[in-house]
Amino acid sequence: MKTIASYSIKGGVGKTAFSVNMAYAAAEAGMRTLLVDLDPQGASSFYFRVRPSEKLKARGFFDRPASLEKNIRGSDYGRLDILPANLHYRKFDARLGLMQKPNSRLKKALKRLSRQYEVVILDCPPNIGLLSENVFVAADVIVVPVIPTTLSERTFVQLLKFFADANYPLDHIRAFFSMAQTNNRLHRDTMARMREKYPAFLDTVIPQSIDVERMGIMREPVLAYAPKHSGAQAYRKLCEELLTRTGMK
Amino acid sequence: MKKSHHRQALQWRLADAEQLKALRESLLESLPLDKIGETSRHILFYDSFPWQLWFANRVLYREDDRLCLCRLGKTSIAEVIAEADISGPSPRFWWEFPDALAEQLKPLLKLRALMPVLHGYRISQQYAIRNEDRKIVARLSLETWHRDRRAGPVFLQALVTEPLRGYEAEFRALIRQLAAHRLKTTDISPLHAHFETSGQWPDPFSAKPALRLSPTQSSRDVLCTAIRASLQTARKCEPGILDDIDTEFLHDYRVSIRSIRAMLGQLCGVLPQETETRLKKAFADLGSRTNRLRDLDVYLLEEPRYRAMLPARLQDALSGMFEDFRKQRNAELKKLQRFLVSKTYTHRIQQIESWLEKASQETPTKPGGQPIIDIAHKRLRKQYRKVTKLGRELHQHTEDEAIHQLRLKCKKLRYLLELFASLFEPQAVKQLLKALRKLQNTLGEFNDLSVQQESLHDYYTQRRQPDPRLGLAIGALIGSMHQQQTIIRQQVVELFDHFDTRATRKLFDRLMHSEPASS
Ligand SMILES: Nc1ncnc2c1ncn2[C@@H]1O[C@H](COP(=O)(O)OP(=O)(O)OP(=O)(O)O)[C@@H](O)[C@H]1O
Ligand SMILES: [Mg+2]
Repeated sequence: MKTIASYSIKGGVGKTAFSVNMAYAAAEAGMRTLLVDLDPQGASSFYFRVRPSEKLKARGFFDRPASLEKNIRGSDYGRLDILPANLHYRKFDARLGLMQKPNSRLKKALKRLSRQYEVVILDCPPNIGLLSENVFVAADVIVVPVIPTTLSERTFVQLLKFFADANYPLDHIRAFFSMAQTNNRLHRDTMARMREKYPAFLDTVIPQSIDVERMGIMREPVLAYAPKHSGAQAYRKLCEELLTRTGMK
Repeated sequence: MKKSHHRQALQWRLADAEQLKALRESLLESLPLDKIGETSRHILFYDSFPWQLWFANRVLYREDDRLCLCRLGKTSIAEVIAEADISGPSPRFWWEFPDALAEQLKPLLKLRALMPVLHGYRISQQYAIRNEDRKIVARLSLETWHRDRRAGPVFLQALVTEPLRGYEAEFRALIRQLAAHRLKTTDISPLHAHFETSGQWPDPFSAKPALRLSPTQSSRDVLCTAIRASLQTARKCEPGILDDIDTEFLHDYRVSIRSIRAMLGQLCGVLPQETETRLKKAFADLGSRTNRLRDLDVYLLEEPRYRAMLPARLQDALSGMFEDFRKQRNAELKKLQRFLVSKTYTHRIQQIESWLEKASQETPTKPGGQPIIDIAHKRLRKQYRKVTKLGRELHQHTEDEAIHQLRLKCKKLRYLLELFASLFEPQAVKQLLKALRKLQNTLGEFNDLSVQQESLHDYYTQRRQPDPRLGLAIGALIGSMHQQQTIIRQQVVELFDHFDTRATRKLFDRLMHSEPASS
């Protein structure tokens, strides 16, 4: 079982869009996949039309593996399951703070699922804290969407620094350009500059796309409702590139 | 855990079109169903002529390019034992299958070929059941199985309900609704449903039909019944020979004819002289028409073994010979096939039947009128004595001829035991046959080696052009076969001593005084 986290300190950069489509593409490619929605907003659960799990409290998530498993829901697509989020997840950090070995709780909880799934995708909320440290420990790959702007570059550098300071493996970080506007000069220049500086960037770029934006209305991955459109194709390519680069395929 | 036992798809059998219509009208209308697709698949089920897979609780089917061997439950297809992807036409013999399957099929099929036993066409209409968020919470499909063609007769109609993880409550609600419509779940497989609706369940086939005799029956009636049964068995093999399915059809055909000839020989005098002579001649003729073809079948089956007996550099020297054999076999097969569909053959069979009919109407001969149990005792004792007498004369340097004689005597004893099996205690018969089998197998091997040496020798000496490499290869084969024979000769002596023990003699005595199993 490989764990892929979709993470960024910044909000609204395309983490959920990536998680949802990555999960869909992995299942489509034949892998038994679980998408874990760690964001109390429950955006990826919403895209799959899965209601938040009322019963799963922050405590149960880490302490009671059976109750975690009970909350897994089959998606409308073969081989793809969802572990939906709920508002109790806001208390993750507080809860973890009270536990022993608070950094490896998530890893432990996911380990139980390793026989059922080949890929687990974590859709993370945008912040840095105990939960994100758990993500860094649990994930084999941390995928960071970066909108090619100067401000984004700063947060990306913050993350690299945090990893280096805390001694997390820097080579677990992979980044991609998200919502890129190819006819925007500033975007193009930023991408070129950052690629040169940070080898963590994947080749595939996710363009700004109306099709992707429509996911909120369609409540489906763009790969499911517009598989031929450029946005969907970009996600499929990105997924393939990631799987190949990380030796999962 | 208790609540989530509905993880598996469930199949609900629909009795007929009526029930389907009723269901469509009420249930399917009331459920928030969404048609999501319709698929049509062709699924081919295979087995051999004697249903070797079925009777070993196995089933082999092909769906698209996937071959699946599964365990057969009482009415269902259970777990997959082996599977493989193939392209092109399906393999027929175990050795043509991908390894995983070949290994499983080898002990079941031996030399038999697989044939399609059912062409199933499964049409599935797939529906999704959604909740108020339009999220799928369960799946349902209406499955209709057609035989032979896409629009062929329907042999199974079922509703398949499939749960989705985490939506168990919705699934239970669906099940309650179906149960309220008096539908029942079933695990019946399409293959079972096919047999059930056609009423034709697989029939075991044996080249040696077991007869149920009663001790007081006249020996004439027994002989006539036994001949008829064997002839019928032989005739069941004809289609397989005509279609050249596998070599076992001819083999079984010959076994039947040979056992008739053995019975006529062993029970001589039971039928009127003239009838007996006619039958003997007729069956000798039927047998002899198949001899050459059988020999060629055997050579060709032995080809890999012959090659393996040679050093690598000589192995290809036999290719020409086997090419010849293949050509000859095709010619021989055509000849036999022509004969089997000829008027001469049909007429011959009718004659045989009328001779038997006439013989069973007339007053029997003196031995023919005797109860079969008396004849059975007499013949068995006599044949048993012949076997032991010859066997005890064997020694390390015994002539080949004596070994052949012993083989023939044993064979006759075996035919008698098989024919009269139902007159005695089954356990005793079984044990004696088992003791005999070991000896017979070795004697058979010895004989095969003699025949093969001779025919290899003849094949080479009758060639027009000399071929030194072929000569070397055949020489090596004959040498190695001769070597094997020397070893077997010694084994025969030992095996006979093993057979001819006090225990066997006691067993034979027990047999002679035993009664059939009470039924
Ligand atoms: N490639 C794209 N083109 C156009 N719009 C996009 C694209 N990717 C994402 N969006 C839109 O941008 C918004 C933010 O995207 P998304 O929810 O994926 O980001 P996020 O990083 O998960 O946000 P949050 O931090 O709030 O969880 C959404 O409305 C989404 O529809
Ligand atoms: Mg998000």
